Amino acid sequence: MLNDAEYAALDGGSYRIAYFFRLATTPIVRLWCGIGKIEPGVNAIDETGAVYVGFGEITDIPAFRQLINGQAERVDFTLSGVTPEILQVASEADAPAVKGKDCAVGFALMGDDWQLLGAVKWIRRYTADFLGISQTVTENVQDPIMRTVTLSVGSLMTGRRRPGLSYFTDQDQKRRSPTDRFCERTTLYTQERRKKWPKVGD
Amino acid sequence: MSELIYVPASLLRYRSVEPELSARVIAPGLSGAGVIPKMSVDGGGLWTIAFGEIQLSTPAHRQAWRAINAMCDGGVNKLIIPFVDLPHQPWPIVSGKPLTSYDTIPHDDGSLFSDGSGYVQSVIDAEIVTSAALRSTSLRIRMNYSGGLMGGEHFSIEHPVMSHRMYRIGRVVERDDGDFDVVIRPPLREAVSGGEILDFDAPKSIFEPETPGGLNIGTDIIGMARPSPMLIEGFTSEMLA
Repeated sequence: MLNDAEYAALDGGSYRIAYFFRLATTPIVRLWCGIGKIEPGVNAIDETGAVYVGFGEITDIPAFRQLINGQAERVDFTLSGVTPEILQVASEADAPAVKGKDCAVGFALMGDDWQLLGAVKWIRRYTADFLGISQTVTENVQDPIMRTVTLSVGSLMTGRRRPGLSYFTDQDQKRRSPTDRFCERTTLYTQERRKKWPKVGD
Repeated sequence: MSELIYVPASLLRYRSVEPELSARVIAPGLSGAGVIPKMSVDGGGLWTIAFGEIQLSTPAHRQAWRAINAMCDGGVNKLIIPFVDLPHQPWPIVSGKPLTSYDTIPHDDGSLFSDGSGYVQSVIDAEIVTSAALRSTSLRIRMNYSGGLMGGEHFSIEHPVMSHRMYRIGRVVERDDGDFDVVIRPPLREAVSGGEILDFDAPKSIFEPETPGGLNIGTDIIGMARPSPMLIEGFTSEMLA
């Protein structure tokens, strides 16, 4: 998996590591933890190569485990340095667009001259679930307000333990299958009414 | 859409200045043998520049600063900051002294503009020889008119998308044909091609104040203002699109 140059870099005692994050929405979100843009070339997911944007920073790559004995996990990616554009995506109608999308985390090693020594190694693939925004509350006017966006992702198994945030409404059904009109009239149902079924005869 | 605001170099009469590349290094602690292995995850660093006590001594200076502060909108609009570094740049030596600027340059018939000012031209003339890819750290440059390079100098390149970006020379090797092979930090923000101009006179980069109120000044009773802003390199959303 690693080439000779990468093994040599790991032997050195100091490491230069680039993390990569890819979320398969439309358009595809490609981020990495450094500054500016990077073209990591062809790898297992980007078959023709692509540009990754140093997006502020992914503040915290959560620890994750391989799936062992079917124990599912859920991790959250938190992003600081959020631009207004991303906030708009996270807060408005586009937020459900991430649900069910493929989300991958990878890394690559860099040499002393900050050049990538090999392709990006994708070490974990998740299914994205939902986006959340958090904003710090401050009581001092001088303090800057900090916003972060959190993406919660899980594996295929996660969904069995925790239901996804979706309902049998027309909007949710249209997102799953755009032409399906199955739930079109669910808003007409009245809640809090109990239907009386005919009694079974004695 | 955000606007880029040029900050004139004459406004930045600082008492101290410190442009540095911030590095995010994760240290996992001391090992049993006393070694601290380090892991760098920032991919080359981000410029920060700390000005100490910029002297805004006249009303015109303070008004210009206030106007820039207003247009900056707390960092929404980015600033183009020139870093004029007279002692350390490779100025050409003319009759024993470094030549840091030309006098006012008139029109070709010898006349000046109606207010008595002339043209401005940079002194150090340098260009890129061979093109280099995005995130390269080694460049071959040609110094057409300058002093010698020693390492530790700064220059900037005006990229088509990323606009002005500053780089620092870390290692210099002079070639037999007079060109220089230099190693730079941070890695190139955008690919460059041969013939692109290097700005050694007043290296510029895009900055934004560290906090929204970072450019605020307080004027004291004798009419002096000495702000000490801390600026970090910024990118507009168009640059990262």
